[in-house]
Amino acid sequence: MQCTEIKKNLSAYLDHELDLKSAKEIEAHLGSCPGCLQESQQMSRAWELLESARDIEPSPDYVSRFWTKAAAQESVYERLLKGFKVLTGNRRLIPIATTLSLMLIIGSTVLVHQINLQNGLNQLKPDDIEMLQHIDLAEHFDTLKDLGVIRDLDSTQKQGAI
Amino acid sequence: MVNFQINKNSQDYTFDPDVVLMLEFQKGDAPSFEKLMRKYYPRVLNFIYKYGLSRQAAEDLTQEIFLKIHQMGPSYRPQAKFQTLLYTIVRNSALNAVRNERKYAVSLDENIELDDQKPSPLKAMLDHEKSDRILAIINELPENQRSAVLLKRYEKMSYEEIAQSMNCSPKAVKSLLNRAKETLKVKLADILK
Repeated sequence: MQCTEIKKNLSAYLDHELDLKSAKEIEAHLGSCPGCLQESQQMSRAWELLESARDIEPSPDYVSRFWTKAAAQESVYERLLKGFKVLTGNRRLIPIATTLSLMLIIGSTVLVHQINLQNGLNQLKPDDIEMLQHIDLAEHFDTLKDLGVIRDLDSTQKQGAI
Repeated sequence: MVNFQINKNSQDYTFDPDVVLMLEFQKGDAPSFEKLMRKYYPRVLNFIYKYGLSRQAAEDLTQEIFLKIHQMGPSYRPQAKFQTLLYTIVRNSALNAVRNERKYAVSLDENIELDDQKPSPLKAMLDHEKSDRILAIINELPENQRSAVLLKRYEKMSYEEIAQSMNCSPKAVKSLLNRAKETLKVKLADILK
């Protein structure tokens, strides 16, 4: 191996990351090339010197600080799920957990239905609302008219009664 | 689902005790997560500090990183050794943070405390200065070389593991480290003398 090739692989050789054949070739070269040997030694010493870069210690309360932040990050859903798991983990509490769950589901469904109904009503015109309030009359309009219960609306309006 | 796609082969990583701890945490065992944190927190903190952030910023970022891993719990899939996954996150986070806070770590927030009661306060001061100089030189390396040096020298990761963390090939890692060591050899020459 030529010196240029040796230098390209010197770091990997020192890191024991070369295959056995390549490592032996470099070792043999270093045994006979003072220049490459010096390079290798200087590189090795510089690498070792990095150990002198001191470490810093974490703050003593890093664990408790972490768990405080983790708890704050838990979503409402995760807390409910945890609570549910605690309830279902205890057999005596399963009927309570089941009842609460059913009440929650039914209550949510009714609430959503009411909200949708109210939203739908809010979009109706006053005439439409009045018609809905008297829907039973509207359904039997023809019959009631034949019986003379409901007069012709046009003639009634003309008379100013409505 | 969080999927780092580090290892495209479906290999079983349960030989890694850290992966096992993470899977135990996924099942709801919080102490398993704390074990992982106690093992890696100081190392992650020092990686980030040596990468170039101030002490406080390194501490804050380390907390953030572990919060991120904590949140990953439900969707965690072991596709590499835990350490590889961890340092992928650490490196990317440090890279982003140091671009925003480009200041050398030690000199701005560290005061040397000389304790006359301790032997050789002068030696302590000299050691401190030497450490500062080394950290400054590491900081001067290009980001990729810096990452490779920190992962190899202080985390003792293999070229293959470093490659996975840095999303490059082992050959690229070899080249990065070779160039970094050439630079370190030159810049540390005066200290070595």
